[in-house]
Amino acid sequence: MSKEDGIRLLNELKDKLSKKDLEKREKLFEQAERFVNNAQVVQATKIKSFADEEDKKIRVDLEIRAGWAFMGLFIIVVYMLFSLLNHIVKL
Amino acid sequence: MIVTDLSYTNFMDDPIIYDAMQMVWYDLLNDLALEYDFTSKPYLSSLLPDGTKDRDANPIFHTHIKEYNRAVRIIQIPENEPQSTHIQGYLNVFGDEEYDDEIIDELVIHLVYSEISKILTKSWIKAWLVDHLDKSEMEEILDEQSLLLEKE
Repeated sequence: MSKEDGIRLLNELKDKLSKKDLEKREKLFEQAERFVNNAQVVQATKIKSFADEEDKKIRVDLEIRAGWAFMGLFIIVVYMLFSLLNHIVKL
Repeated sequence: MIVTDLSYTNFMDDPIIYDAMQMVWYDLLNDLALEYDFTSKPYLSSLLPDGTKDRDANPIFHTHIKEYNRAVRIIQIPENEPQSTHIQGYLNVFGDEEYDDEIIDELVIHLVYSEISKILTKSWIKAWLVDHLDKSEMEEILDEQSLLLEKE
């Protein structure tokens, strides 16, 4: 997987988000994109979490799998809607 | 290892302080492992592609108990970054059932180092790796205690 593929996957993921969810994660996606752009060949298992300053549950996780050419890149945006709702209710 | 006089605020700038800071978390885990008789191993690579150590603190510490398929990952934030919370934990699943042989249930903790965040981290790790709280119980504790700190 090339860096371009990684960026493409990030963009595909962004397209799936609602405007509201994307706004919350815009800065986090920028950080994730910067990481992908700066990454060299990675052949090890890694996780990088780019989290909101105020609520860490709002985050973009890059899961990098061992043995993939560039990155076994699973990009997960965790909505955590249930947790967020709980969080809001408790507030 | 006892670290008493190091400034944790600049742990990202100095590899020696970073490594000492990292040892604080390994010592904390080792204390728990000795007391409650379990073994765990790192599950992520801590190396950069050129073979040098990755010192970005994302994560600064990670460990996995294969027997229970549970892991802990700590992400440490420099104190000088504006943060409204000093510690927050949540549960994550590392892996995808469709593609991976093994998926790992992770306790992920974001924190700024302090005595209270260290105490809370130890308590959360014990609850997750030793007491084996189920996910809903664990999430309840994490939410309540993260919020508690946020209000202080």
